[in-house]
Amino acid sequence: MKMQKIILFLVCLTGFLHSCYEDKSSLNYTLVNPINIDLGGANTEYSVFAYDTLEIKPIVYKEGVSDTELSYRWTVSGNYIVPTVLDSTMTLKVRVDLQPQTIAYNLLYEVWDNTTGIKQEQTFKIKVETPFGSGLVISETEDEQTSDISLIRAYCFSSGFKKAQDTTMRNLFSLVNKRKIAGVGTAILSTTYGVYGRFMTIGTNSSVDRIDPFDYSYIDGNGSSFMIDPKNYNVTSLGFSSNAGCIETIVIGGKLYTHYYQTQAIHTFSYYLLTSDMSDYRVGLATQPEWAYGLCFDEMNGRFLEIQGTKYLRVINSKKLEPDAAFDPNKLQDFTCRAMFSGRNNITHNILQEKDPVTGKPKLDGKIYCYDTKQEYYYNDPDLINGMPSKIIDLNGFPDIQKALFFSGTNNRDYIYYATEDKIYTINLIMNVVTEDYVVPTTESSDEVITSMAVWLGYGSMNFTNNQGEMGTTSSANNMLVVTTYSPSLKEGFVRTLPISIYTGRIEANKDYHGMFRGFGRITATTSQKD
Amino acid sequence: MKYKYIIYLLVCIMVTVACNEESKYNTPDEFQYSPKKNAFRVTKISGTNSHWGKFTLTMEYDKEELSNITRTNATNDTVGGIGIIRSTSSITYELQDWIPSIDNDSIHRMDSILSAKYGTGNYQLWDSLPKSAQAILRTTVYTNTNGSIKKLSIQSYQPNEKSEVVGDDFAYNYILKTTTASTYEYDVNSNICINRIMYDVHDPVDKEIYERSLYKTETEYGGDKIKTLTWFTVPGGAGFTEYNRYNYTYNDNRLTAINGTDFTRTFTYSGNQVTVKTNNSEVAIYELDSNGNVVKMDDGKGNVYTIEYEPGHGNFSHVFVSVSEQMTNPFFIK
Repeated sequence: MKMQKIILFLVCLTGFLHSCYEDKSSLNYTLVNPINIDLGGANTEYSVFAYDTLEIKPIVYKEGVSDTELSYRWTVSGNYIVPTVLDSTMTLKVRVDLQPQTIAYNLLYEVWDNTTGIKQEQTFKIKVETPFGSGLVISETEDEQTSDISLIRAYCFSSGFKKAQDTTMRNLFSLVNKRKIAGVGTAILSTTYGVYGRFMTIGTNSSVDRIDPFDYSYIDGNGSSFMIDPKNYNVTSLGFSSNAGCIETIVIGGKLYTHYYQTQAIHTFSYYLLTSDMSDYRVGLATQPEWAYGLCFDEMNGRFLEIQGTKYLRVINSKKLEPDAAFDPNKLQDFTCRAMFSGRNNITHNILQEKDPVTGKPKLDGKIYCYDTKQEYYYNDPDLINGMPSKIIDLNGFPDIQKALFFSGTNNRDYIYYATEDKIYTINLIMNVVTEDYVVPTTESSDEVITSMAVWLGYGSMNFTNNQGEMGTTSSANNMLVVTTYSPSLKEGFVRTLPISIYTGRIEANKDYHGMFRGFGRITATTSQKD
Repeated sequence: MKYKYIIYLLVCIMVTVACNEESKYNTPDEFQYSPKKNAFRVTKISGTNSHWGKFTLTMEYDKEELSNITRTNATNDTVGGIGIIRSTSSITYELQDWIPSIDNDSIHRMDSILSAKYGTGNYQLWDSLPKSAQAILRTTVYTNTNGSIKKLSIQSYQPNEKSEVVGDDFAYNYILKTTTASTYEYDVNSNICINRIMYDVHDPVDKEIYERSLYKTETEYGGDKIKTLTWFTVPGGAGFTEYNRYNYTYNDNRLTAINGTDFTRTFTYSGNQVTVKTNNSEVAIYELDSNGNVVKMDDGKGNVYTIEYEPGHGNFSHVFVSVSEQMTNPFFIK
């Protein structure tokens, strides 16, 4: 019995001692230094243009652990994309190849301590915006088989730009659509009209492609751009008239097709227009004045035709010509059309040259004239003045006119500019004098030649010498020539901008005000991109 | 007999319980930081530099920390001071210039009014001007729990160019130029062995826009002397990459040269004078007192200072002299 009491006492004592025992097994761990991701006060929300470079520079460290024992991963997700690893280094520097979206993407930054496997995370919000605002759009080729589209956003081409912000975004078509354009670009036109009409049409000698000018994503091309597939896609001209019918025109295989913009539903090109007398035709060039119906030149029949919106090509009535009319717009069978563009006082300048009757090409040393036709507001033309003859300007006495490759002019001055391979001349139509105003510089290469010339009709500003001999600034629209050149030895294309003096109409003499953008392939077509 | 075994068993259990050590609460391997204290601290700096012209800085301390700085100019006007902001994790020291907040036209008008009212020489124009305290340097010190400095952020500012214009375009606020944030790691001897540096150059118009560069230094010591200082930088989209290595040479226990790629600094001793030549061109001359403190310095760029000290430790150099400067030139104001 005594022994039983002793045992009972010991059992109680054991239980008592155990009750005093504090269980701290849950504290049996080792605190480790944290992985520090130091952003230096930087925001975790970024806004970046698509295809621009995103750079994030944190300092990451873990005290007591070598930097080489840390590993990193940057992963972007959101907006229904498959999560994609962008980089695996401490800092991020990557071109953002993501579609612009109104909702930000998620960027997850993970850092591992390889000695323990412990991970630290940091999240960022990345808003991708479209970089494709206003600027000069060019079609360029490097292999003479395929083309690509580049955009120059610059002081002289874009609204609200400073010169220091000038930027070139190359090869945007292939960047977005993962392929080149089949063929060499012959015409390009970027048009934004209202909410639904947003197309950049790219024509080549063998293809048609249409993309969204806001993000360069593909819309359609070739047969799918047309109600009835024209089968061949040799594009020679593109145009747009926002006011006279709101149509985009495209000339393929000599036939003129229209795309009516003021619709929400159908944005394909219709079947090609027929002439008002149902006669056949073969259009080479066409022009679309701002307020008048467009005009095109029928190479088959040697005549001008008026583009009556989406309805038909109106044959101009020769019976209604004034007795002293300068010419009959239906009797130009000896000529081929070299250029068509608007001039001052509602005039269209049509550069015609005598042609070889067999080939239809300009005849060697064929006479060159400017056949001016009248423009009339499309809604105010009961007498059908539009397209009627105004006058003929003989260009044959001007220097190097037989070598002229490109012609252009502005609708606010009586001047015509023509370019040979290496020179640009200015014709003062009032004084009937010509001046050699520009020679392609040989500073980059001795074989740089002009490949296109056009008056700039987009946004932007330019500098010029004012009448006090100081620097003036004005809008570049209608005041600047955009000249593209190519150097075969460098295999490099250039864009040169030449301000036109608002006082003299001549090309700005101070070369400090001329601009140059380089690093392209051979540029074959240009257009302006407006916001 | 049976009970005897039960008693043995219970005793064993009690002994086991008694021997059971409580589980350890393990902490990171935190070193015991032993702060390196100065025997003397600066109390006055007088001299001339390009920004302030002729000036005198007077320092006051509370225990071992700066508590006040005043700056006077050649005419003994107080034209600058210090702002101190304390938070739970940091202390910010803001070295301030006191500048007029009105344009020069207004100052001239006020001068004319005062002159007409009190007569020339009978008033203090400076005292009458409305002024603004603008930071020329803002240093934020973050400390570890053991008292060591964890991070130091130094923001430098520049005067506004528009402070010289008059009218609506006048603006006096200083503009943030650079931010340098340094994060330190220490070795077991309480020496800074790693310094990670974030260097931002701010856009003068929008300070939120900046160009950032990252650097790191790793310091190898032999005793308390630096043997090598290795520099790393971070190319865009990469990690730290070594780009320079400074090797230190000592003679008679004194630093005589630092040599790196495209960087050479020599130290020539003559009596109480030290001549420091950088890349064989820039020459600075330091004069030391018997305690080894810099009492006069001429940086060869027109900046000449005389410095006075008092016994005791102070944090002046922690706040105003970057660690990389201290590591590449031991002759700094403490």
